[in-house]
Amino acid sequence: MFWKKKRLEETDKKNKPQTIMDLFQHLKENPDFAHFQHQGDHFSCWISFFKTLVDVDYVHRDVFPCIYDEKIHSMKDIQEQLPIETIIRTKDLSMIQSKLLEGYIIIQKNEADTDCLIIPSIKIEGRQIEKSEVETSILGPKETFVESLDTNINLVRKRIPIPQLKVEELRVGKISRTRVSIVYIDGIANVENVNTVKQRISDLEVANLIDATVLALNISDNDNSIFPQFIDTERPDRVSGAVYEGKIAVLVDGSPNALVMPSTIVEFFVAFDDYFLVWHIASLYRLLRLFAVALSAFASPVYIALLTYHYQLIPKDLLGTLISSRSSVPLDPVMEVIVLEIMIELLREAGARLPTKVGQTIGIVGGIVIGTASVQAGLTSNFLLILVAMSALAAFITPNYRMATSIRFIRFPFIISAQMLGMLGIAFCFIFFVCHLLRLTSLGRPYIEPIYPLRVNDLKDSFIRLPYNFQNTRPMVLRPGDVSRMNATRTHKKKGKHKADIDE
Amino acid sequence: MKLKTLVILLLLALLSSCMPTNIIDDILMVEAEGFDYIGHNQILGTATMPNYVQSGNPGGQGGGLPSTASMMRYVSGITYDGKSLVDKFQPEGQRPLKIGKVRVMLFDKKLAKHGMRDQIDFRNRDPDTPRDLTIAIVEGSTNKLLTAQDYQTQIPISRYVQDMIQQNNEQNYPTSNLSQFIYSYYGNYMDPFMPLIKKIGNHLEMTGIAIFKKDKYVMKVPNKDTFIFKMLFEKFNQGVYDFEFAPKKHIAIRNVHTTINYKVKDGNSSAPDIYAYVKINGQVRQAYVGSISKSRAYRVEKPLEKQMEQKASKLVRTFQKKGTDPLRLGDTVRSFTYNFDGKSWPERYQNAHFHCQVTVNISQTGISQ
Amino acid sequence: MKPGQISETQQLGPMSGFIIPHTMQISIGILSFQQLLSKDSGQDAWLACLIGGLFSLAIMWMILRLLKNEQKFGRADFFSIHQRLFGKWLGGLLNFFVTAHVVLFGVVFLRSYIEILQVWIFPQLSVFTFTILFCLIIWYIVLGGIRIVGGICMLSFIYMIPLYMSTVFAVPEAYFSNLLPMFEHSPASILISAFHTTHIYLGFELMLYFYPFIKRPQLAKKWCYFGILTSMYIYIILMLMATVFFSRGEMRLTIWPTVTFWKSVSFPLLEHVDMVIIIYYMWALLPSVSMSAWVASRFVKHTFPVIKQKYALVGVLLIFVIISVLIKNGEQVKIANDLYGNIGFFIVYAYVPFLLFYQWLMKKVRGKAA
Repeated sequence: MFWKKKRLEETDKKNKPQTIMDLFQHLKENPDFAHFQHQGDHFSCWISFFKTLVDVDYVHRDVFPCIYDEKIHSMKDIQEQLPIETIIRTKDLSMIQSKLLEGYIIIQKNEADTDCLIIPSIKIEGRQIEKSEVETSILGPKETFVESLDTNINLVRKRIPIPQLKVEELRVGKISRTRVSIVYIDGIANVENVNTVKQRISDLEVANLIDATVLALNISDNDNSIFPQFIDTERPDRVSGAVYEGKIAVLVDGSPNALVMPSTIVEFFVAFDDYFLVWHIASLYRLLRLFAVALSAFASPVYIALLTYHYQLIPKDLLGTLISSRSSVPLDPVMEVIVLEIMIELLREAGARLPTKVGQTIGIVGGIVIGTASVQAGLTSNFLLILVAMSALAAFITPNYRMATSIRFIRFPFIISAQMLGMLGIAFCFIFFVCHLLRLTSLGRPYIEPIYPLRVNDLKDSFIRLPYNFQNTRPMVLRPGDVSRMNATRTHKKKGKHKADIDE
Repeated sequence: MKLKTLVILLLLALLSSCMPTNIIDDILMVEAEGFDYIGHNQILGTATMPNYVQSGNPGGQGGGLPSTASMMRYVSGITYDGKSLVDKFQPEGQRPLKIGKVRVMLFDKKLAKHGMRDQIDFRNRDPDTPRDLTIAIVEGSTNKLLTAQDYQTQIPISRYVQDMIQQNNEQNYPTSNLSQFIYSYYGNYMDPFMPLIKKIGNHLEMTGIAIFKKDKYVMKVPNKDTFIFKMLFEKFNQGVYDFEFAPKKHIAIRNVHTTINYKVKDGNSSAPDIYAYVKINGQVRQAYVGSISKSRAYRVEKPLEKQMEQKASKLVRTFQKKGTDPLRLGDTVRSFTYNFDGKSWPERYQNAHFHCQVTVNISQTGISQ
Repeated sequence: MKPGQISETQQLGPMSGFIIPHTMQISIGILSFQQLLSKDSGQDAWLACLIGGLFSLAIMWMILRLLKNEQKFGRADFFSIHQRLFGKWLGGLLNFFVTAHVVLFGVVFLRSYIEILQVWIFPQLSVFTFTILFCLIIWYIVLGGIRIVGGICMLSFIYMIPLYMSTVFAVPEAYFSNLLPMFEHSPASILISAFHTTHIYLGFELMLYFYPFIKRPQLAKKWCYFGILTSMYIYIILMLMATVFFSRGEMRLTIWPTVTFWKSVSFPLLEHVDMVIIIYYMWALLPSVSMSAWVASRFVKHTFPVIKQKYALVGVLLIFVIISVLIKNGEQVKIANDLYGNIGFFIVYAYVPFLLFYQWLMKKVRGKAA
């Protein structure tokens, strides 16, 4: 650990250019690096930039004509005449280097001169804002984040048009210096939370940061937990909703995901659609998801436990079906389950990796193979097939993909313990997971919050969603700076007293 | 930390020392047990196991076992009274025999007369035996009843017996299962009963209620009196009572709702008075032609009430003579009496006065006049 | 921060005054207490439950009084009270005895539960295996600190609610005449039964150990009484359920009436509910055992401040395992249960009032001296 860090520092030192000439020397090896002298009548200077990083059109159209203009006589003139809001003049070598690599233009009087003008001309290359693909929804906004940080912040900002919205920028990654933005509303978000996030991010020791999920894994409270502790989402509407609630969003340059923190476990089972439906239906959907999670975790372990140890628990009328469907299966229930679970898992992984067109074919082929052939081959029983398929389906009802994979994984410890001790094993495993969840925290806030510590107030938007006029306080778990969302008395006041029809 | 986790995982693996498994298709689940007394504390036990595999796996024409793989159907043998049949028959079993899903237990009349103390004690002790087990006394041999092949139905005999008794329990027969039997058997001042069944030709039939005195069979309530018995025993809502208001002239009343209320006077006197108030709400199901109509329905009520009262009194009289108390009258008296004198109750029970008052209300007479 | 004060992030909310004593009381006794109570007072046993509960309420009042008086002298828990009133050595010895009782509390429940498992589900289950597995989980819980123990109590309370609700299944098959005639038994026999209720009501005295961890104790006060009332209510309901469901003679023979009751219930899609329920009851066991381990390890930390609580915990759990394995059969389990109940009666219903009196006396004596 120790010497590793030291070595990193050493290599850093070695690579660091001492003078600006070193830097150019180094960069000239790249074919896309433009470094040339402009020799005008009145004024001459050295211009350098990366052709691939700068917006060439913009440079040719707006920057060069201005620099080549007759009026320009000195560097100071450029700074004054160029129609760009921020032109930095600096002698800081490391800044020059990093700006150069971000797509700025460097202008010097002499080649060896450290005194430079830095002119922004970044080319924004990237996807258009597209429809959501991971967290799809039927109702509501369809926009999703893209890989550009500025666009993403734009998407959030236009939903929160207030001056209190703070966007703080940090740089993460020893080598990559990736831009990371912390977004929150000043006065609503808890100051302690904001400081924790800032500290965790700035303390982070990584070489590079490719995606927001990597950041989430690195700054989570418990690195070894299989449960994700921060929500990652690609929906700007969800992020701004959370920010309004008093949460903190973290955006990473180059990542189409935003992190929302702190989060509690129930939020992973909340789809943003729930807020677009009337509360009864939304509540029912949430309960359905909860049931699905239970089903997907317990269906196959309970099958093993019952068939291996507790034949007494099986209903009389089901016995015949179970025994006759298992009679031609040579495997023990546990092996039967494992075989089928692995098959489904293979199918899922193949479906995710293969190109869409082929993936569909694989899905159909897999469905047929697993559906009928394995039963006919006497590898599994009909009954189990239904169970496993249903639980696979149920696992992916979870709106959050990272949580869905955790839920998929959870069943394997259960399967093993069910084989070892039957129902008792399942109980042990369940207790272990519950204790684990009890001990988990997200940004230091309890992870299973509305349940323990029990906050009845926060239950209004957890397993069920009460109507909006009940939702006039922000969740207590966040300890928001401003607790009430809106004026409670005014929300409860109905728009005009409604008179019952029977009284005319 | 890593090492610690590893040690714990290893420990877990080691600790889960193999628990004996009961994989459902590798065991034989006994579904019915029959006991025939053959004298000298010996019984002929029979256990049947349903053959679920017979039909085979509908989709499984391919590999695995042949779809006709059939299992043993029943075993029988002689052992001493009170012995667990499963343990006795294990040496004959093709696979481990398990009692956890037993549905039916049948005893023959001779065993019932001999006394069932050991049998009941064993059932009450065994955690595997379900409490909602169906139990019955068989007129004839239980072995023959369980092993006969000539039934009209193809379903396993255990299921046949259970279905028959359970659906009758909802109608004219009083609720009876192991739980009820044990309640009365171990309870003070009450005696248990069981339904009586019989194999007649190619089917089974309920023939009445077998009344016990403690663990011994003493008498039978015939099929036609079971309605009266049930009426005095519990409230119910599905029986049918056949009323012969004149020789060969019948009216059948379908019970819609019956309630029973007991009152007791002088519980500690030598001849306590027990009052039973029965209310019957009924419909006419069938009637002798011209005997009844909507307006004349009330005319039937009075004689019906009278007949029922007589029958009830007669039934209780018989019980008193035999010294058995399946209606739990003793317990009723106890619950109405402070410092109930339990010791002298068996004698006082014989002298107790039973008064029955039945109120019949015929609410409907069918869809035609 | 004053020395001896516990930081707020380590503290429990006032609600835990309700949850923790209540879940400590609800444990394995709930499965079998009806038999013992009805032996002496028959159908009036529910009265004994009521009386026992009211007595416990009075003791709860004393405990809270004791702790409140103690607050101005530093940390208000049983260990500190002992050491302040009786000096370091005698106090330490008393601490050892009360801790031994708390350990017994955990072990007895654990071992009784294993006995039930062995009788009802897995005759071949090894005591050693089960205790090791269970203690690993307890270790994991207690390592998280008192808040996690509190969380386990909370969840246990929530998970147990369906079981209490399920007593309604007894109603269709109930013989309410079993409750008549009411108040038939003499006060003496009811009091004997009330004495037997100590076994089920014990556990709330653990308040003496975790009191300093409760935030705003004055708010927690009413919750404490409410917790005992809830337990009392549950016990009365279960007692009534068993009385109306079993005949007297049957009850005399039934060792675990609550489980046997469940054996009689069946759902269309689930039979032998008793097995599921027994395994489910592990949740009732979890809070008691983990709290007991927490208290015992805390005792070690209090007496020998050198030893860290996390190392003490391992020792305590080893003791749990050893004692559990040493108890060989059902008879010994019964003896251990009786021992636990009787010692508990002495400690809670006799010693605590004495301690309150002694504290008052010391205040008078020392007050005069000063």
